Amino acid sequence: MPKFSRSVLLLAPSALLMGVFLIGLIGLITSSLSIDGQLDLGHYTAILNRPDYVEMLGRTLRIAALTTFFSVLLGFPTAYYVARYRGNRNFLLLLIIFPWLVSIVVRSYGWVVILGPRGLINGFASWVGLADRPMKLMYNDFGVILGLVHVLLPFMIIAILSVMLQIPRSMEEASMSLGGRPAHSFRTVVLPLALPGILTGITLVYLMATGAIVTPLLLGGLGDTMLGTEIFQEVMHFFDYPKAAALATVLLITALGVVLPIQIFERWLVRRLSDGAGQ
Amino acid sequence: MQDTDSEAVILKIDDVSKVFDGARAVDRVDLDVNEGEFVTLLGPSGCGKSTLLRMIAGFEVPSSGRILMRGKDMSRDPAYQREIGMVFQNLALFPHMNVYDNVAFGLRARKRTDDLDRRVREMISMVGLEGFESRRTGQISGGQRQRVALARSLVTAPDVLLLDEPLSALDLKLRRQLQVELKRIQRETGITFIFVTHDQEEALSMSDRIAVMTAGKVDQYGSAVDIYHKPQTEFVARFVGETNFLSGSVCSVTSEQTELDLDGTDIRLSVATTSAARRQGERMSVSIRPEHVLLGARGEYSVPARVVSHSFSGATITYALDSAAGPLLAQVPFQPGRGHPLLPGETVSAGWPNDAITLIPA
Ligand SMILES: Nc1ncnc2c1ncn2[C@@H]1O[C@H](COP(=O)(O)OP(=O)(O)OP(=O)(O)O)[C@@H](O)[C@H]1O
Ligand SMILES: [Mg+2]
Repeated sequence: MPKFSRSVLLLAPSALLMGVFLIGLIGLITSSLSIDGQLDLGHYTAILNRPDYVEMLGRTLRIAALTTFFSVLLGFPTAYYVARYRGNRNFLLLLIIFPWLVSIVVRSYGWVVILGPRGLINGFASWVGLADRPMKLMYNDFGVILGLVHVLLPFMIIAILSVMLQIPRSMEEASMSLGGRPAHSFRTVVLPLALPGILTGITLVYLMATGAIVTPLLLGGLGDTMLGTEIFQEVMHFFDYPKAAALATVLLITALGVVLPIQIFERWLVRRLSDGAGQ
Repeated sequence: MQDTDSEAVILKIDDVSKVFDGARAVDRVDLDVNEGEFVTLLGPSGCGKSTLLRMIAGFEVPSSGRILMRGKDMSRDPAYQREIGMVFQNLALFPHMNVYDNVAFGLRARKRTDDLDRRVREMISMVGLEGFESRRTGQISGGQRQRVALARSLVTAPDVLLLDEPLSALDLKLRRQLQVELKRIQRETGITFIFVTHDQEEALSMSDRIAVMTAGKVDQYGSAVDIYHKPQTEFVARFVGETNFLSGSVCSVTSEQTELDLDGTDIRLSVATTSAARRQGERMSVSIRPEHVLLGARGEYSVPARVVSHSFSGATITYALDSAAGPLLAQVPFQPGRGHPLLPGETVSAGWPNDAITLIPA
């Protein structure tokens, strides 16, 4: 069999999947763009005219951004440590992906047990007399971000780790033997080489955070939902598919507005970090 | 050649060991390296060459012992504070930088940027890479990558340059060419080189001194000529070049001469006594290089032998012989027109001169 047709065969399953996905996406966008079979931007103007939706979009992006930020902050050192760990790395990997074995609902509910008004922390605080009224640790943005970081951190770690493992230890050693102090080695060698993994992680976590449904539902406040949850409710409770589709499209576009530049600037960023290091 | 004046010792390895999970990768090694010297660590895979090198570089801390640079203990200094360059076994070029930036890295890291451009270009031209400055390291050949690694580690003019089997991945021809070039660069820069290889020919042709290592220990440390012609252990004799071992028992020892009765013959060898010598009656071996075995009734000693096989390799012919003293390899020059090679089954007398024999503890 010629090489070409074999590779086409190998691609067939993913092509099929992409096709179905694409059809769904086109269906989504067309249904959001029509009212009674006519091309109409009505759903969009309706959304943009409602301050609560605009605010919800803003909150969604802000929470996603903060979630991503904290995931990088926690995920990079963890991935770096695991990649450079000399002992049984598989055990550490197991610990990292262990949360994936527990459903999101259970994991998020775990936070309710810990953070809730009658949860562990508040219970302890009132027991030692630190607080006379329960602290508001959840049903707000703080709770949502905490929950999302918990749920999404493994993706960040795995994305960075997969790249870190490709970077031989001798890279840092070469830098050190050339007089590079740890900070210099980190900025000019480790960071640029790990950057593709970090950007993949950022993209992944940011996109998943913008589309989060369950965690904001369980840990977020009643009044300030995130867009993903709202879309879910439009579909499941109000059966307003076109409106949900329009919301989803808005979410998609704003999310891509952040993610695409990241991909485009990757090369430039690597060069900035390494070449001459700004000398 | 090299003066062994202690003033000139730049690097002193003092009773250094490294233990990994109970296994001694490097076992009580002592080594002095003189300024400007080309020293080779030679030994089979896993004998601890890289581990020793990594301790000198500062990537591993010795479990015991000291490493002194110009008399100052630096065993525990971080790698970036040592003036020691390293060419890695896998080269470890920075893949996100071009050739120029790879070479410039050390100067920038050490903030010696006054003269940066001139020094980088000088180094690039020394290794013959002009015109490749803006190539990425993935866009040049293996030999060129080698040169980048060399230029990168030399640009900061380190006191000592460590090279961990830098040529092992190259084909034979390129390897020979780079060996010559490496020697030239070492002479030109005057930098002390510590070179690791498991290729004995490479070690013999390049080094001022060779440390032959096995199982974490240095078996013998000396000039290439000494290592080859006066091996002190069976391991060194076998690892460096091919050799014949004949065994016998000691019949008398004085401070000058050791006499040895060769097994299977009535030959009594008389050999200069070395530190390896044993008491009367004990078993010892002698090593005789194949190229020192003479055919025909020549040499101080001779034993009858029968040809088992021969192999022709251009300038020489190597005969496998079955002699009264045991199996013998004899490598003799081959001149066309001067008779035909001996055929298997023919008998011949194999001999050797007295000074070709080295005493080895059995
Ligand atoms: N980080 C480590 N942890 C545990 N054991 C190690 C470590 N590094 C090396 N060793 C062991 O120490 C011994 C010496 O290793 P080393 O790498 O120094 O050998 P080498 O002489 O450089 O071999 P090669 O020619 O194959 O490169 C080996 O048995 C090796 O398995
Ligand atoms: Mg090695």
